[in-house]
Amino acid sequence: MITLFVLIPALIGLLCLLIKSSALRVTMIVAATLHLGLTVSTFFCDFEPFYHGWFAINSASQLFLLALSVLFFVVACYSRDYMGLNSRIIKYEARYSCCMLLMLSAMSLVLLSRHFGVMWIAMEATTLFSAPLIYFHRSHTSLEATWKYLMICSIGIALALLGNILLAYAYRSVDSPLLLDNLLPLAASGDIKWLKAAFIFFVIGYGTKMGLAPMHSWLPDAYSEAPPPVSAIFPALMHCAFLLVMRVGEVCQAAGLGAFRNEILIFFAVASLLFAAIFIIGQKDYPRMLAYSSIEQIGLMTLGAACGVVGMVGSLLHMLNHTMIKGMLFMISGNILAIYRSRNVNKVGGMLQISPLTGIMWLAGFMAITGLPPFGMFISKLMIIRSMLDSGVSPIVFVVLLLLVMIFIGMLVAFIPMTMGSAPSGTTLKPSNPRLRWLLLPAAVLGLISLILGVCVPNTIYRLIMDAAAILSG
Amino acid sequence: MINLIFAAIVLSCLMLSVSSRIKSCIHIVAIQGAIVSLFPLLLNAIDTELLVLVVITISVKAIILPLMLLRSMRIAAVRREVEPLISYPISIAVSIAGLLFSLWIASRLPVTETIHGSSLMIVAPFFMMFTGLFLIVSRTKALTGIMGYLVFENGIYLFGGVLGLEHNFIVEVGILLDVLVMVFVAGVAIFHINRKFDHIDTGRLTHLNEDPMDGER
Repeated sequence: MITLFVLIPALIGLLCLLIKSSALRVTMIVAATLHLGLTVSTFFCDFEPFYHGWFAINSASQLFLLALSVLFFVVACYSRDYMGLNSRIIKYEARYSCCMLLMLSAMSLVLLSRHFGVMWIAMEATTLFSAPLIYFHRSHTSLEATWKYLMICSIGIALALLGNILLAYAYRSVDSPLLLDNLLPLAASGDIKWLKAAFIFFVIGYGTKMGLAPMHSWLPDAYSEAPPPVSAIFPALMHCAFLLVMRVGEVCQAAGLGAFRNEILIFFAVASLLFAAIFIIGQKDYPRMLAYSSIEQIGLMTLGAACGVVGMVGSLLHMLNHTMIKGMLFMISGNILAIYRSRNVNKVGGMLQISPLTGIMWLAGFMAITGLPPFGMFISKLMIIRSMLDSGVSPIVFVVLLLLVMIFIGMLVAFIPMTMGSAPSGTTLKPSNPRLRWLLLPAAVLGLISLILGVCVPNTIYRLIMDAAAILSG
Repeated sequence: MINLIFAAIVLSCLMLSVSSRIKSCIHIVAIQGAIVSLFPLLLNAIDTELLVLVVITISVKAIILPLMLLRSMRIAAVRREVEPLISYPISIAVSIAGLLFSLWIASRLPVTETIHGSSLMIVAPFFMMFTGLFLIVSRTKALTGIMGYLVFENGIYLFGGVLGLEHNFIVEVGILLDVLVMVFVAGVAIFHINRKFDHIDTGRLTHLNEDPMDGER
């Protein structure tokens, strides 16, 4: 049963290469619906572990799978209209659908596998399937972004392979040492020095994919060059890598290296917040700004993960919110780009007059991503900060709050002139395409989910997050 | 025997960092791939599974990947040299420094078992990883970047072999498949870079920076 999560998207994805009509868009939605249906069914029936326990579902993977599945479904609906927007891109549509579905398949494999070797293979596969998607628009700059993405992520993930080897050597006495469930009960028997080295390589390796600073350099380029539906999926990809680091963290925790794990995570988290703050202030390119904001969010998640169970709960809630809101913002940014044909903040203005709906949602997205109530990120950020105070890292709390304020101001300065005021003179605005309004619907759905998460977290999700946090923080 | 393999790897790495022709670099990468894939036969008890694995590994690392690289080279019509950012004398100095560094790391590793009585072998994977990274950062051609990645990956593979870790058929084949697809995707990217820019010089891929761009994506 569990294999269906991987097989269905992969097979339908390959099938997409054979279909050459508008049926493609429906195919992608069908695949996304099937995947979502499977994910929902995990709440009602038990999925047996598969292949000697190499593939299994626990609360943590269920939570990440839910976020991925919902996001992918919405993105598939968005793609349907997005592809109709421009006749020039239609000829690449088969390849686009194929790569998107293969990426979904690989991401599901990352989430469901319990064997570090398989996780590595699946993670590298996500890189390879997403690289052609970044090159979707076939411009010089997108090619450059693709090359950077491919090289930096592949080398980063190769470092994680080194981590695999070090981990296997640390537990050379254990039978098949890369299987997480074999490892955890015997974690204390490992060779601590090698385990420490392994953890560092895992954090650097998968951290590259997560976008942790200072390994983030591919991220702003890839996010801003990829078409909006692909950028909208990328946060889910970052979260997959986050889960992998947390799984190695589980082993560290079980081996009594909790403090060491937390130190390393806090270092990279604060570095990420710092880089995000520096580059968001004065940023003139709004897709890049969203990319740096992703680095900020992943930094916050990592920070929460290093601060006990409460922090982990906040971090997982943050993960859900970030998936939804970043997806929403990238979808709206696609709209803004279609209207203004510029990525420069200064050349976008008066959105509330020109396209009121886009403007309102862009503002709502701004409130959501900076953690203003009533959106869900308010609560998750609060929990993360609270957990930091509890775990006694107060000097860092001060620094983190300062950086968050800087990021807030940096984004405010860009978002307000974009929506309010009047359109800058000399810009030729594209006559409003009726399709653009339809493109806002999927974004609104994601925003609504984040709003619901902010007002009251549904009981099922709440329990799922609690269970997952208990597992991941050991 | 082990010392001979060690010498072969060190020499090939040194040659990689000073070789000026892409074609000879590809040949060296193929030879290294062959050495690295045959290595597990020395340490482990030979059974069918291991033999099949070695055959698959050697055919990918020593035959298919180099052929793909040669094909990308022909497509991109690279005839000129590898175009180092760092001159050859400095390259060799850096390489030797890297070798010393690898020796230092290896001497500090708490590896209790020596491999067939030779503790030198543990140095080789580190030197390969170092050479791979050095090739990536010091050469401008996209093709040398991929070669660097392959050398790096071979080094990691050899490290696993030297530590004598048990082989897991599915995982190893999966990793090989990933590397294969990576080189394939990178080859396609090189083809497009060559067509769009009339060069495959990654040192000149500098359009993306913090300044905003106009126009449709």
